[in-house]
Amino acid sequence: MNTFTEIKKIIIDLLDLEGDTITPDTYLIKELGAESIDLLELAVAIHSRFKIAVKDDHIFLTRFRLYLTEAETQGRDMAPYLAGKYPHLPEERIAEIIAHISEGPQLKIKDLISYITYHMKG
Amino acid sequence: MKFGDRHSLNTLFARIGDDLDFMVDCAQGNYESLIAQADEEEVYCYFTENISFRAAVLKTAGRIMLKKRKGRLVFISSTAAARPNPGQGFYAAAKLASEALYRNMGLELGGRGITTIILRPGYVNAGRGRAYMEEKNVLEAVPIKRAVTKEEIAETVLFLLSESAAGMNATVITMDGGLTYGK
Repeated sequence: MNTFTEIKKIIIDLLDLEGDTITPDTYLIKELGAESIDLLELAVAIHSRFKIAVKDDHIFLTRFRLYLTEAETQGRDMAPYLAGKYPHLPEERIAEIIAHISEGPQLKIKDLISYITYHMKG
Repeated sequence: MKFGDRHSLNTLFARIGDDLDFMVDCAQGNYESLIAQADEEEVYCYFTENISFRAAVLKTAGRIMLKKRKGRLVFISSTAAARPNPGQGFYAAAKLASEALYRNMGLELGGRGITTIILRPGYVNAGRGRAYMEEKNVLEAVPIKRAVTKEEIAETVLFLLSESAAGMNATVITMDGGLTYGK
């Protein structure tokens, strides 16, 4: 089973979802309605399944907006600043999140996969 | 084990592994000082050991219990949280803060089958309290005119861990013979 299939299984199970509509581009909070307690359980399940240390703030991009403000106040370029904070995310994904940040929580299933893949390699 | 030390946390939970149904927390350092006399460094350490470290223990235990969506956490507090003597300010502050951590845990994870309860014993005829009780005739102020026994505490804890007590969540039970109600 690949990482996406496994993550999908975990999420369907945790959120009690029906059907098979989840793709790597599905928004976890905006579309699936995951709440903070669901994210906590998801972090625990990911740790348990993939045997990696999970930092909840990090994997769920909780501080993304805060880091954007930080970059702004310090007069730094946003994209590289955020890349430093989230080394598991590809550059184009960071740019995409920045572009859409005003449209609500941007966390997608594929961001979880990036985190898992990055930390399994490390 | 050294409270406040991350390595101790890992050692503690390495022994427990991945399976935890119950946790009874009766760990608490003693620190008596008048607030206006306390050493700042000692205060800082005391709160780290007795509050921040406890939060880390709760986090770890909660995450283990979440895997099974079941767990019961009991915190042994003290009536000193409600009615401290002069000199017990730091002890009371740590107990109250810890009670709040336990209560919130029950609030946050109750829906996932993980519940918490706090027991506040009054004068107990054991440990630190015994010398104090012998020295100052404090039991006169207790309506039942005696200390609570350690057997009574143990049996109550067993009850609190039982299914019969499962409806009690995120709350505090006082077991002090009536001491803190009266004046």
